[in-house]
Amino acid sequence: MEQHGGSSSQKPHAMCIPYPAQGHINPMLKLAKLLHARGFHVTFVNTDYNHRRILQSRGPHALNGLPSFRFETIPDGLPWTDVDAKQDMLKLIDSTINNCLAPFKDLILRLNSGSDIPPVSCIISDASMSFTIDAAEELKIPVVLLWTNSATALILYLHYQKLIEKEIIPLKGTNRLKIIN
Amino acid sequence: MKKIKLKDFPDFVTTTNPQDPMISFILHVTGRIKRASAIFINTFEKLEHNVLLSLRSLLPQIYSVGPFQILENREIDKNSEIRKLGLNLWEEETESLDWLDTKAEKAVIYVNFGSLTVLTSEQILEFAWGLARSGKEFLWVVRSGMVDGDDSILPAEFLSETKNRGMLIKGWCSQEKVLSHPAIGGFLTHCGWNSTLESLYAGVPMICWPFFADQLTNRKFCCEDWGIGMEIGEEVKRERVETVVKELMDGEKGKRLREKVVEWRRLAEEASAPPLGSSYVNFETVVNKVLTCHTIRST
Repeated sequence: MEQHGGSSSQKPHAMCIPYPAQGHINPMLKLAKLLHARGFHVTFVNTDYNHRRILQSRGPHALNGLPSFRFETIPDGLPWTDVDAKQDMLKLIDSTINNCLAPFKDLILRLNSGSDIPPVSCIISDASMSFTIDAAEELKIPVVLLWTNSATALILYLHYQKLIEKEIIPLKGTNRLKIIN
Repeated sequence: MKKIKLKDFPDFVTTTNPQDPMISFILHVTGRIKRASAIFINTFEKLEHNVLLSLRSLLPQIYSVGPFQILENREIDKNSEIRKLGLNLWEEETESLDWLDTKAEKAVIYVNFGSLTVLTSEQILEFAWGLARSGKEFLWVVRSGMVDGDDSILPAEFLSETKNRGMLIKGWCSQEKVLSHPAIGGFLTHCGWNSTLESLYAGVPMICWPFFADQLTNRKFCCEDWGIGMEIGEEVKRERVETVVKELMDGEKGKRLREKVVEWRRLAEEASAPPLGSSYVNFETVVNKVLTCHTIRST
């Protein structure tokens, strides 16, 4: 970023943020490692809740990271719960949409204000964490989304709007299985 | 893109609620996705060729870059510190790999319904007795919270009957390592996308029992298009589980599926191979043209 007056030798710095569920975290971690192998400084962002769970399942040093691969956290916006209590999926979706942008931007600004790491130069975000697009546009850095399902699932989801316009969904009637078969 | 039935859509489509929160979320995500500089999809060109062609007309900035697992294996040293970083939310055990070491090649069916599936106590009993009746050796991951209500539902008769040929993991395991173990001959799965790709890459044919969302779509493709999976039906019955497990592990159909999945594995490896594999080239393109151009431009 400009205030750093970066030089051409400066490493690119990717902020990698998965949707906070296991099936989304795993592919994002692989992607983050691949970027690291290509010379990126990586900041991997977990939710506070998952951070605590990982420390419990992998041990207290599991998230110490490496000098050029660091873990940070943001709150998911849900009330504090014990890590043994399961999070409600619908509440989590709603909460990430409404509560994560501000702490995510604050985290980027905090990282950029330090002098020991290169400034954040791009965001790699799960497609389900699309508040990151707002952050990227504001900071004028690229954002690459990770779609963790098949291409077919993506094209079908993109057609939901049309199904609604054609009044196919929501389905009418009560016996949905009868209708779809 | 070929025609697809509504029943093979991610099942949120079957809502009758006009204010369904999942539909709102899908519209929220798909409405914003066009603003991305690029979109990585963990798939490869030959696996979803026609869909990717259609998708590019809607979203030109998509790049198929998968399976990530192959790129990771090729590019990141197995013994490096970076490779060892893991983010499992459940504690991972390793004794299953030692147990698998004692088993014959392709003798064991691996059972794991993923991180979100919740079974009823009736369903878990049908799976349990189906596995028991199949007579096959099995490795079954029983995650905490996987059964609605009581986790200790598996009856003592089942445990004693299968104690010499069944291993239950109460927690989590390294699925990639398990699937790539030579003793594994089949995978009974919820068809999550990661599990589907991992099974494909390990060359292991699947029995598909989707739970929700895109898993239903993945089942359709595994069983009807790619020829790597068998169905169990929505309603789990022990007789059906027994028949399908036997057919997958020992039958002619299982043999055909195994041949097919090995062929897909070869295509996946080809896609990830430098210098011309499609996933490799796509990943390089995004890294060089999208992710690092800003750093260069701002200097």
